[in-house]
Amino acid sequence: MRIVEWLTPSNPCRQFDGNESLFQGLKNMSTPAILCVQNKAMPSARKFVQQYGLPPDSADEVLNQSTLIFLRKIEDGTYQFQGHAPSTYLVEIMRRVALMMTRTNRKSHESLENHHDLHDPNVEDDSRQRESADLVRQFLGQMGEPCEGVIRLYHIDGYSDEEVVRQGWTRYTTTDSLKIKRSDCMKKLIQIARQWKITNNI
Amino acid sequence: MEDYKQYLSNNADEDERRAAAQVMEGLSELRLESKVREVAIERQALRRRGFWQRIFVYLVALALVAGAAYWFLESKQTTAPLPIPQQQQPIAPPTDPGVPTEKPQDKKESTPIAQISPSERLPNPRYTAPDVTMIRGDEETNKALKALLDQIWYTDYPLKGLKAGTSFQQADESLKKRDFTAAYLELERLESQNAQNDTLRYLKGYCLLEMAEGNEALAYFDPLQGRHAVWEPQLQWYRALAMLLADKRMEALVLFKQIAAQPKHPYRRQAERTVGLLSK
Repeated sequence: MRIVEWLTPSNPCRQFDGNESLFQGLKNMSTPAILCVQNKAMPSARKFVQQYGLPPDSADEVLNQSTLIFLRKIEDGTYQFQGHAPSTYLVEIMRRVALMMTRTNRKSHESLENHHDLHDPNVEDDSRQRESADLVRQFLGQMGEPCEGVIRLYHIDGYSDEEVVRQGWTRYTTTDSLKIKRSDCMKKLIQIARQWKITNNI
Repeated sequence: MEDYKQYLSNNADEDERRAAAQVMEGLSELRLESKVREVAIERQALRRRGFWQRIFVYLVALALVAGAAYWFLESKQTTAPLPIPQQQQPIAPPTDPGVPTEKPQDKKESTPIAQISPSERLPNPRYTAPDVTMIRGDEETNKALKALLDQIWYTDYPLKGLKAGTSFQQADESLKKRDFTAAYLELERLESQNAQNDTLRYLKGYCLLEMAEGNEALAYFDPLQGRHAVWEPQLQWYRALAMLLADKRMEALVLFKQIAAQPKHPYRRQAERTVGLLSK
């Protein structure tokens, strides 16, 4: 039976009967939904990489970066479903990402004065988000266990408290104790971030 | 996602609120990064699976093609005539056994009999058969046998694939001159010195055949069966002739038919002629 399953061609889009259900899947961060939209967009990623003279193996990088931006836009409500295929929007993001990567590559060869056009609001937004992510990663590292694990499991890996308790991934054996500990850790994390902002005059 | 406001202290100032907002933004970004990484790993796994699926499909297709080819060849082989037990195909390309060389078409005569096209007429034997009318009882039967043998006496010397050494020089010369009595005497002498020599056996069998001694010839030919592949086709033919001489007509007919059924046998056409004559 497993061999039959293995031999069945994988099509992550099979479970989505239309653009709307696919969008709902993306909103819920469902892996098949993300794979489906990526599968549809992958040929365009290869085309952009070729068009913009990027290394052939950077198609995956373009796709991953674009997916990250796309999911962020779905999460913050910038992208709303209007009946169009979600992959169309992802392709548009990929085009911009590929162009940005081309410019970044060129920047390393030419002087900065020629690149005023780099101030794209989307690019700035993206770099701000990344900066925040890097800072939080750094603060979590400073906090160490158990706070790092408790916060990571819920806020980054997306596991429910029930699952974490059932699997025994932390020392907390009830969801209440886990929640109390996480709240405590989050307060500490915010205080670390506040202190860092004050120290760096931000 | 939990609301970050619940983590703020009661008297939270603007710095704390902004710090909390940044922490939540950073966590959200880390969550998205983690998800994209997870999906990328899944995508790689699917790609690998697709690769092995394609390999599997190609292998199955290849196996099917190989199976079909095997089945086709196998079915072709079963329609071909069954090989004769203890007989092997000749290694050396055969020439025209027993066909007169003094005919004008020299080029054609050097062509093996098996390569003569079916439309070409089979030349008559170069030599006549030994006289059997004098040594057998029923004169009429012997005359008929002689007439038959004259039409099929495709014998030739030197024997195909046989290299007679210096010890056989005298017998060899006698056989070339078709002086079978002298050859026989010489071979008798050699046999008394080394009876187990296959070359000697073959030469003596041939000599006896040309002397119309069918049974005696068979006594020398039979042990040689399957021992020397290069002699085998001619040995088969000579055995069949010896059987006719020995009045083993049915056995001879079976062997002639077996020879005729082998498309590459150098005596195929002679055998076909003989089968035709014997079946009349």
